[in-house]
Amino acid sequence: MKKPKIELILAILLLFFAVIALFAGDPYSSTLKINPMELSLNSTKGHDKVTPTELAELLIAGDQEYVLVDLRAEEEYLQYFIPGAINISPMNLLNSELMKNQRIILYSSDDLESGKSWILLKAAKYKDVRILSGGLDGWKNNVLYPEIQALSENERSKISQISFHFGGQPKSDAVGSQTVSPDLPKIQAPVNVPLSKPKPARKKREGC
Amino acid sequence: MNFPLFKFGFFGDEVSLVLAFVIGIGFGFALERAGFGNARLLAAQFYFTDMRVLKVMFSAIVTAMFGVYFFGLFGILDISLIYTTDTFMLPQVIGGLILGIGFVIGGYCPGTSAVSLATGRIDGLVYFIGVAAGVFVFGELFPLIENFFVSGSMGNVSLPGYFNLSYGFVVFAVAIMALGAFIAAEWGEKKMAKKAEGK
Repeated sequence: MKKPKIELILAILLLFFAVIALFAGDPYSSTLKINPMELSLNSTKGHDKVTPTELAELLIAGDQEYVLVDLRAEEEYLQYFIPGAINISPMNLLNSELMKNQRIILYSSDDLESGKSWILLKAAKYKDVRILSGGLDGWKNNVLYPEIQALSENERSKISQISFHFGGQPKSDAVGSQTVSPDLPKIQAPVNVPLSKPKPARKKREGC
Repeated sequence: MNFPLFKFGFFGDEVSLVLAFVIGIGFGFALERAGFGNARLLAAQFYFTDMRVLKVMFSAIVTAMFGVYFFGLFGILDISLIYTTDTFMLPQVIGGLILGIGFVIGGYCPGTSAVSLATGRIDGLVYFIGVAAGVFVFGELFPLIENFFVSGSMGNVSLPGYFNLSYGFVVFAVAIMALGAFIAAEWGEKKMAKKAEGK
């Protein structure tokens, strides 16, 4: 009897994989798995948070290495958002334009919504995701309208400058009677601009 | 392990260029061993006397497809990070026709002309110079044809997305298509061999 020809073996292999593929499903979406150890290590090492002041310094330094994501409803976002933030609803997070290798900073009104989204993104193997600790409330209290009474002179002027940079005003004892407006500074809402970060000039062409 | 390694930052641009060089050499070597450095063999394609280009290409497509699909399925490879070109229907059809005409006339596609040049063939050299000249002329004339070049944009579409099919089904269909092509190619070669004998 003749040995089976290599072509025949390859053809059978081809059919075998093809039939498996027919029933195997979508390679893009699969059930998410959580690695508890990785998540808790991230938390204990502090790799999951950015404080409002750190974020403010990143923004002032013009660091473009991360994407800032506002998870609140669109109306809230249009009223005020941290400069540079894009608005993505938690529902659309996994289908958004966020890339798994991007540095992502999430914020919402408080820590709860951003915390949930953080777990979702980490489970989906997004590499570097952090939340803004305290959310937008933390941003208000620490960056826009910080308490600077208890701080040293140096710190005080630094924090004040940061506050002014973002259109806020520090709460100071010097003018104790002054009522600090609890309103958020007006940020011009983007008009007819797609809610996304401007694309870097032009995508490098790849392929043959 | 997370693939693609470059997109996940395992190495930078420099290392990626070195790797591209190594992979490119390997690719060229494989093409040469398949006989793709010979214009006669390549052109035989269009006369159905030797269908090895079709066989090699379909084998490569199917192998790569299974690899990407199954690695994606197992969560080893993040397919969403693989770059795919946008679709511009008419410009790409015209571009494909120009490439095909060049292939029939000269017996090479751009990649195989480089392979042929590397093995020291004069026709490969001439073809390669032609490719370079074409690239240069295209670049210089680009402002004139830019409107056409970007017309009919369909965005980044894929067969599963466009026809609303499952990924698995498309993989299956392409594999069956390849199998059909292999069988048809063998059959065609035998038929042409008989015809040649009859002469």
